[in-house]
Amino acid sequence: MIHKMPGRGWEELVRRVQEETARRYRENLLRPRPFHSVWAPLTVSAYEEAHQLKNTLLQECAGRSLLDFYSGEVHTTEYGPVLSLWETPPIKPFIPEREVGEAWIMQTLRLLHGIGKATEARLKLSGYVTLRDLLFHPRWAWQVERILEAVERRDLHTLNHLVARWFPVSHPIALALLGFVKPEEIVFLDIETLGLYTEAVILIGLAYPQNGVLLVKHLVVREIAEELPVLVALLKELQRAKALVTYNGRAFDVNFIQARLRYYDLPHKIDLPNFDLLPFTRRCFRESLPNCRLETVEKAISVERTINIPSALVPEFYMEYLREKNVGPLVAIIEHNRQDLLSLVLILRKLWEELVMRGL
Amino acid sequence: MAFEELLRDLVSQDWYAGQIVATFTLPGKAPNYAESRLSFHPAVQGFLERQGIRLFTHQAKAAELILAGEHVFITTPTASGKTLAFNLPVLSRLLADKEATALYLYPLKALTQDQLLKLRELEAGVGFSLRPEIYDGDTPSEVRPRIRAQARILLTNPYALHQYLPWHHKWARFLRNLRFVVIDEAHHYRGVFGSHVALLLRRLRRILARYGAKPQFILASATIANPEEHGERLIGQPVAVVKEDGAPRGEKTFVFWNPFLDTNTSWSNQVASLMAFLIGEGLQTLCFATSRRLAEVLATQAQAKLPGKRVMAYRAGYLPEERRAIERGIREGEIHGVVSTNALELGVDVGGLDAVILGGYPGSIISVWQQAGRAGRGPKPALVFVVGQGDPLDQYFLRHPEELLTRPHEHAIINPKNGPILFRQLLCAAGEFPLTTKDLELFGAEGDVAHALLGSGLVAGTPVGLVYAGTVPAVELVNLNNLSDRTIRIEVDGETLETMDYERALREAHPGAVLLHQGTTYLVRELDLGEGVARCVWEEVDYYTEPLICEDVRILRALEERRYGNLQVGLGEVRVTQAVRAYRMRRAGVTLGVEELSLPPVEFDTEGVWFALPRELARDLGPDLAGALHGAEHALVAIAPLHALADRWDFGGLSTPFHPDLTAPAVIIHETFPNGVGLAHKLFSVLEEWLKAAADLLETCPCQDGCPSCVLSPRCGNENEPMSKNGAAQLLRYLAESLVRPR
Ligand SMILES: [Zn+2]
Ligand SMILES: [Zn+2]
Repeated sequence: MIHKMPGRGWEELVRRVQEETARRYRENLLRPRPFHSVWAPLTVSAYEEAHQLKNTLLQECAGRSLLDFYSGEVHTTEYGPVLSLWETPPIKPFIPEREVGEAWIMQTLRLLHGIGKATEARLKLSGYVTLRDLLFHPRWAWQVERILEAVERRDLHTLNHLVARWFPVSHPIALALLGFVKPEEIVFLDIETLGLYTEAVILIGLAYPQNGVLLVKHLVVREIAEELPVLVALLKELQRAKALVTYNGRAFDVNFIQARLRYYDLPHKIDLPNFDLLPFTRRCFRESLPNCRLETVEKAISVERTINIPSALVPEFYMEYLREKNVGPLVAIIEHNRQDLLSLVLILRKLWEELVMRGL
Repeated sequence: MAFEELLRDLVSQDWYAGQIVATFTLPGKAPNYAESRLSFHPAVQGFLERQGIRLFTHQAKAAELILAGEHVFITTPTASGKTLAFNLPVLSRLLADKEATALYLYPLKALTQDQLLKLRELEAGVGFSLRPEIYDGDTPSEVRPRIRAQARILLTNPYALHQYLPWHHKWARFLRNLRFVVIDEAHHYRGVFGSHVALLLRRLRRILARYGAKPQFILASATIANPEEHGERLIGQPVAVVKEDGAPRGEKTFVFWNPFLDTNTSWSNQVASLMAFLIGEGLQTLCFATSRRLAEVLATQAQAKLPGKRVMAYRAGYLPEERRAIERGIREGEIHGVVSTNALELGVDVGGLDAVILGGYPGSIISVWQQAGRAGRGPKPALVFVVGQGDPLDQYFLRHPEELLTRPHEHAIINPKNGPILFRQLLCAAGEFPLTTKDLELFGAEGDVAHALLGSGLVAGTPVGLVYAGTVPAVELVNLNNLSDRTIRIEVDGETLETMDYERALREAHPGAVLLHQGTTYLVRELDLGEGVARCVWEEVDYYTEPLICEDVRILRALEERRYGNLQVGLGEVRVTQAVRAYRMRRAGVTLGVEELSLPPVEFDTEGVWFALPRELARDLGPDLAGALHGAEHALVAIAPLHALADRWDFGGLSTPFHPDLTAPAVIIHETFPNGVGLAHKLFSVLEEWLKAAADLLETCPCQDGCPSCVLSPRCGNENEPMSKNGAAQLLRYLAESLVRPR
């Protein structure tokens, strides 16, 4: 065996860099992760199972296109073509009730500057049960007026600010604010990427209610050159949104997208309130579950995955799709992402019941 | 001469055996002060006046150029006050512009510590705080956000910069306001490392352009032969050079000492005695050793001869606090002698000493002057001993001492166009922003590199440029020090001792190899190339091992060819196949045994120089031909570092009575880095000098049939067989003369 280093011929070098890329990635993922991690460690059996799945899909999808499996269309933008796929899965969209959000705000006297736990209890004993009761109170009236105004206007920014100031991110009241957003303005978001830091986005999954059903939409990066038009299309999609729902999206998805927008020198601030379900899930399942990885939580709320690959293998599947020019591995990624989105909806429904409704 | 009496005293010692082969005294010179006043910020001006500091001409010139907005390269000797020369105008500008920031880059972590202290002292003197901070791998994570938010002067190293560039947005404030990039010890950026750093600086410039910043680059280094060229290659822009030194110098006496004239006393014992003698005479003495282990041994031996005095060893690898304590001890005179590796050659501040011993040729004329520059306090006379070792260059200089003092400094050679290096740096750049055609120009990349990037699948072509498409951050794939993507872990009891690149591991971590790590010896039991692990055990052994490398070299393409009668000399691309076929166990220069190995060969393409010899010459040399070619090859490799800043292992060679590509008897000397970093080009441009020096090395070596100081190479894969020293000398002389003979 001759271990070769190239001169002008690049192929050898390139192959080695590729091998190294794959090797490091696998090594990195096989390494045990800390307990609280949201990414699961990849076990050898899961790795092998996924590879079997990949082979099956490669066979079944040979010579076919994504539009053979999904409804969708390619539209051209000034940055390039964007393929979007859509479907309406048989799952009821989540409709948060405004009254619930309002009830939480009203019952929480502690939102007022100067009122702590003790004062709140004392006030409630003296008959001041809701903020409205304090509207004519000489000391608090001014603040209450401001809050009621925000509630009236459904001013999520102000309310968010207020709640974040006095309560931890996992507090039910923070989730209850979702009640102030119209259902069709809530966008569930989940992305798939080539890496964990600054690599390319390859798929953006969105879900929102439309005409009474849940619409699931995928913006697919069919080749890296389409990442930019897909990001621009996402920005356009988000214009309709007033709030995002994600799982670990504060740390990952939104950050990642912003980094990619910055990479392309596009305006990169995504300034939407982000209802990241991870902290709420931790609060809700802390006692009953060993960890809060998505798959663990799914099991707890009886969600079954049909086609599944571990998140850790998404980059490898995508590279294989590019290499083989066969949509099989890409189908697996889309299915994985679709399931993530459906789980988001189901988990939110569960959390709404357990944390928000029960806390009233 | 100031030391006449001392030297008379020395030669009358009973252990002196006539080792002094030459003595030279270089006159001192008076300081040259600048006349004009510079337009410094009033606080800086006030500081200079309060402290009574008068600037030397070179300091004033550098400061003036910097204040005028030029890229400047200051290349003056050690202890000439380079640091002050650039710190004053930088500080001045940062005081005038309250937002402005500066980035200081040092090749070694240890240096940043020292420079931070200097900057803080200067700040205190001027009376303003600019929050200079070190930011590198050792910076605790809890202070990082504060440093990023506030620091106006940042000190770091290229390795750290390479890792942090993709996170530029976290540095938005610092980068937007960046006015200066200071690159100290710029002569360190040579070879593969230097070529990587040159491209890293282009990555920095590209990112800065996006933040609207266009800083001035300030380079400082020991005296090198080609500051204009090196500076421009490094930063990609022309530099104004300041090289006239206005600092005063005392008279300096150089004493050349050939330890091999005393065959009864070991080399280290002689050096220790010399050191003990000098310290005994009241001279604070610094001795440079060529290895860490030697530094420890010499310090121990010298200390044993000097009860009541303090002699310390100093080297990289000591804790920073230990080093600080030793440096203080030297400055304050509590330590009378110190033995150091080249760690003290750099900008570490220990003040001047009375005497310096060069324990072996440090590998370059640049280093000779850096080390000798440690001797002398201002105008006081100082003493420098040059004690040779057995290597060819050491012996060459002991026989031509005047050459050591008069040879020009070397050229610092980098090649930012080296294909594999460029490829890797462009990958990293594409990970930072899409790479446009204009960007490729900035990196000096030609079409074929862009093509290769696209073909690799690690980069995708898009309408906005090349986009990184890998799955691991590109900066994690790219190592500034080598060209190898494969690394081998050196393991002891399951613990990782260090990592080596694959090629080096084949040479140094083969089964049976003795590895030295921080003064401890380990024996390699097994080299598992599949797993990428060399498994070692800790074992105290008193021998060392040397790999025996055999190689084949094929010629791929000539870039330039010259004919001198029937002699043909070429420069071009060659393909090298190297294999470590055996290793030798040695103790104190004596071979204990040779063990065969079976390791896979390594193949790479690089650049080389070849000599295809006329057949009639082969006839003249007769049975000596193979030995003559072999000796000439070894001599040419050994002497090559005289002409370019490099070490002996940066070159390899092949000699053969018949080379299939040249259809003639041939000697080929090539670089050992894939694709070459420009050393072969350099050698080709000084052919005549190179051949003459090699011929001279052999003609003046007093040995009969060849010795390690001339034609015998410790790494020769053929165990120096066949070998004809006289044939080689004859051949080299013939070559040197052929070049000047009219055609
Ligand atoms: Zn000799
Ligand atoms: Zn040899």
